Amino acid sequence: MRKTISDDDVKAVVILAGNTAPGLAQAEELHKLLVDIKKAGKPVYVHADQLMTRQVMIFSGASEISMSPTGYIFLHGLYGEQVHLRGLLDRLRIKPDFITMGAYKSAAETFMLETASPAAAEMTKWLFDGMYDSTVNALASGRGVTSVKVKTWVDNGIYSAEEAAEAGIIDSVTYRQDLVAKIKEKHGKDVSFDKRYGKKSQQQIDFSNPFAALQLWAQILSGPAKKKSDKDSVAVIYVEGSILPGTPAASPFGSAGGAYSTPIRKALDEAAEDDTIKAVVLRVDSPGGSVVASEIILDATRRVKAKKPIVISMGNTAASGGYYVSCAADTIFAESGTVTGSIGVLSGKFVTTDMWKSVGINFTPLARGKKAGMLGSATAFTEAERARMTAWMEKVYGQFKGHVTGIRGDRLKKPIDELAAGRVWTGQQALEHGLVDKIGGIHDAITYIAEEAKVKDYEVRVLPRPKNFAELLMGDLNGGSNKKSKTLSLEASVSEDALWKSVLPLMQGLDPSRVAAVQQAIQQLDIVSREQISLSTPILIAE
Amino acid sequence: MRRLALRWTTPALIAAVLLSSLKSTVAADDDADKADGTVAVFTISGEVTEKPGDEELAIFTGPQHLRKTLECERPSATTT
Repeated sequence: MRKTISDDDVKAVVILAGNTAPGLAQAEELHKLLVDIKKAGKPVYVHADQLMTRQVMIFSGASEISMSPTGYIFLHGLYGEQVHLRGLLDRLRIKPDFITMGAYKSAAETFMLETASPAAAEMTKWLFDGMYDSTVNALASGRGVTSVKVKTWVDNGIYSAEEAAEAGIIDSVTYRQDLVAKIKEKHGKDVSFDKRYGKKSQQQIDFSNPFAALQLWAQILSGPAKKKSDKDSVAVIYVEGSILPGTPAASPFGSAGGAYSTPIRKALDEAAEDDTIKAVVLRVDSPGGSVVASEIILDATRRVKAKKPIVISMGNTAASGGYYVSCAADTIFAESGTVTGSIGVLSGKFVTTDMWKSVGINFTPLARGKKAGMLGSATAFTEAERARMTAWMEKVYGQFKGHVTGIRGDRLKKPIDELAAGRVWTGQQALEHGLVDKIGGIHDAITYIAEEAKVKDYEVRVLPRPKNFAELLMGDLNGGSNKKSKTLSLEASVSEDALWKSVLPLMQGLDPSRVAAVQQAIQQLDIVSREQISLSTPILIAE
Repeated sequence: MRRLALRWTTPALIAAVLLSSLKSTVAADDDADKADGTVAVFTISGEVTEKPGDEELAIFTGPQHLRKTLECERPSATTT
């Protein structure tokens, strides 16, 4: 879409708004992009059949919003939820026993409490206020009204297309065909509408074609898509999803989600060594996860930094482990609605003895060593075990804070203990506290770091290069392992065939955001059960 | 002779399919050249993803992709 700004052939941009719900930071970035296109003198026309709050926020950056007659808008504000599983655990007679570093490190509250603690409630309030302010401010500037006016719109909630046009939330009520006629009238009847603008002319397989099978084989046999470029580049490396140790199991039949340390570490090392890569952007959209995996990625960013400029671009969430991997870079970009911070650590376990007893199953413990049972699920931590665990966690927490103060000490506006302890911030609040450096999206980060590296003519290269179908298929047939690897690396140990992975997706259509929250909670549990410690952010649904 | 013909049948068919795809792409580009300016059309729908994914065959990746296919004006399974 950004390409339209400098493309002289493009006279205008049309956006057909379907049903979408991006994160707040993504929405802000899209909103600003529409504003940039508009500023370049190219009108941006949005047409929709229905819109929700976040979409209105994005499209308010356009020149004109039109809506089909009988369309509607739910401009109902920002609604959030935190998920608490304690009631379920009590019913199952499972006792959660968690230890956290920092009063605000409320991720464990998902399992420990039935409602939010006062500290978590206080934090959620400032977080939600910040997110709401970001939404209202974007909408107000986009539509050219005051934030007070926007809040009045929001409090009214529901609008028909006609009511929305009358209130000034959109510009007109019209059918799509009439919009096309209007654009032709304004930009010339011979103007062409390019529905594939900016997309690579990727080969499509049309299964209505009798030769589709041959086309499919031709694609498989075509081998690796593109050789590595020799042009000066800015590398973009993604840390997207829960941070996990090892390597994902990739397959042409669906890839595992998560930010696995091995491919990210390799990509960072490749970027450090490749002389054609002049600068690196680490794009982080992660609620955290494994301490070990976070440290591996952080360490790799240091190796990049020793050789060339590196910048962090935070997406919707870059908190806890997501902040950990970011803190070595000299410059951090975040959107004002990014969820970040959450500097803290948690650990714990579940005591399941009563659950098994309730169905008539008993376990007789055997232990050698005073603390042999500390990780077991038979009993809660003893006082001695709790003290030992706490001492270990304090060390990890101190290391986390040390990483932050080591790089950003002079930029922090308050002592680290007043910013950490698990506190979660919006990007705007983090900027005010000195936890991030600039407000902006990935495009801003790329432009910034290219200037730092003094490169003008460059391409953006994503690392690791996405695999094509043939490579995925061959990887799958080989059991997915890289036998030529010269370095030691863990295989992914997150359970790929867990029951929840089969059942929860079936409920996704019914209640997607809550299903995502429960999935995230279970993934956090998986990390704690494997590593005994976790860098995880409290789960917050915001839509 | 018959064996030789069989040996060349598959590559010839593949080449024909690829050439026809290429031809249609070139034809589309020619059409664009004739037009007096472009209006770039984008659809923002579904999940907004950023990271370019590994290439998957949509037909194997579940109901979300299948639904997309059915909603297309010209039904086809695409590599995404």
